[in-house]
Amino acid sequence: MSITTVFCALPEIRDQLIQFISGEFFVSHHIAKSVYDQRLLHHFRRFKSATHFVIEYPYVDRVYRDSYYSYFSSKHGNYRKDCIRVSFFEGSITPEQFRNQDQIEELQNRYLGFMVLRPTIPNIIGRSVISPRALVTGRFLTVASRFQTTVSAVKFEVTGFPHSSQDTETLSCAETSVWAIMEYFASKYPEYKPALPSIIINALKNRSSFRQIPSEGLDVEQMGFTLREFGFGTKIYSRVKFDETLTNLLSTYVESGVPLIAALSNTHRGGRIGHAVLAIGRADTTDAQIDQLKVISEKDRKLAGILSQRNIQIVDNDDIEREFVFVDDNYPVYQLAPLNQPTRHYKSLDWEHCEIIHFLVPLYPKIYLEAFVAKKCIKTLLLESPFNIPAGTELFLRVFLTSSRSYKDYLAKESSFQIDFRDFILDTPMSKFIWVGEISSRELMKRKLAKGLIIVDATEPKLTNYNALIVCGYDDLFFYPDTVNKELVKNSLSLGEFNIYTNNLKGF
Amino acid sequence: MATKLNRKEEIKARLLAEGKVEIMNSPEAIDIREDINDYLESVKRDYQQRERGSQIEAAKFVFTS
Repeated sequence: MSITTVFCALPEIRDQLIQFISGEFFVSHHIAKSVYDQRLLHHFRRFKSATHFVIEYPYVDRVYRDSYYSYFSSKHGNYRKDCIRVSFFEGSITPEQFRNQDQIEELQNRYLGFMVLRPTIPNIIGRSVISPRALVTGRFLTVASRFQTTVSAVKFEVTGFPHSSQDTETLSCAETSVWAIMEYFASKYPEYKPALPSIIINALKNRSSFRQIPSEGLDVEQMGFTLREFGFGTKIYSRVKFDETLTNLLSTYVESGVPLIAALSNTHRGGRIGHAVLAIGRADTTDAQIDQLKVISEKDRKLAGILSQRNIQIVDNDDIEREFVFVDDNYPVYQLAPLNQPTRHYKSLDWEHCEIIHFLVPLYPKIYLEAFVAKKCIKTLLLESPFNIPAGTELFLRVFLTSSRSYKDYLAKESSFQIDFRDFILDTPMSKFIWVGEISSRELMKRKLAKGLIIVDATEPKLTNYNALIVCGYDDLFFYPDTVNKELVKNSLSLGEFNIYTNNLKGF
Repeated sequence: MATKLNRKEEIKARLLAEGKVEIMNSPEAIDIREDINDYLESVKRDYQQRERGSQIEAAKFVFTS
């Protein structure tokens, strides 16, 4: 047995993969062609024309091997246990470059990821990580992590978000979403471990009254339970309970760099779809979007009363009508779609009128203050604190969650901050996670600037007596709760304008 | 030679010396605080109801596609 490696360019990939699929997965040339044209073509036509490929067989993929040993090998039919791996590079490549130390470093800069092809005809796309740089799609911002792999025996690293199609037997959309979430978090934080298909099935063993494989799908509650078992403090938001704030809150979590699972459905509109996708990012914000952002009338009676009384308006960054980045196991990774049309890329009428019905957020378990309450807390602190906000002012508010480590790192390097205000915040002990509200205006936000800030402890759900407030400042005043006498302290200090925080999604 | 820094305390002391600090303990400030407390308590109750309702709704939803 030996490893076969093929180096080829984009125009050659179809013929090469058809040969591999036919020869190694033991299917007819006709079936292999049909698999490529129906399952792979729409993935490969998104690659930039200069992309080159390395195809390797056999490849032992840990995710497919797990499905193979826990399920496929128990069938009578002859299932192969090895996979094909396709790796992507920007520009041309030769076999010799992989044996030359000097050229390997240059190859690393041009490495764009990989895709595993499983012998699960026709659903053959397995574990993949593709750099957004490889694709012709427009610019977008997304959470991503680094994944190590090898190509032609040489170690490489790619930055992207994990993706796989469902095999429909051990992995349906629900299991694939949980797998991708765990793959992402495990590669990023030592607290989490990757979850192979059999581990996901085992986690639900005591919650299932019926046979688990072949998978008939999971319900949202089971997904929440699985994520909790894997170490998250899972939160759920349903459209019927959060109404019009559902997409606003989903946007807040995306702005916070938290990948989340969205449940899509059209059953309430006579359809039969119940599908899970991940929301992992959004398109860049344009000046036109900021200009077109509508003032949504505040539904909260208390806040609406203060806004009206003070003649202030708030526009919310999370109300911008943008496209979001979805990971959908029926489509290539990084699909862009607006939140009100999450299945826009589907051609079939069966998928018409799908809406986001619920979403699940895999939060760090010690984040006790979630987005709904945090946003209201930030808004009330902004409106009730005696900041000098003239009547008739329109404020642009951007709220996100981040780690205090990342926030302080940004602050320490950010020279646009008023130096005393910056040092004051840097010397303030903080919880591991914080909610941040940046206060700006449309014009300032177009220049990625803010002039006010509210920082709230995300580990403090007890909000009375400014308990969760760390610091808030706007224009020429800032406040903080004194740690000794617990009173709010007002300080006069001109804060000026400062660059907004963009570390969560690496941009705005 | 070691350098000991506590910029926050220095800034607080300087602002105090410049008369730029005010403790918000006037009756009006206390009223505002009480008002915020009441409001945030009601927000939490509202959230708890919505969250529990979401959990009940979620139990009915099955992923099939």
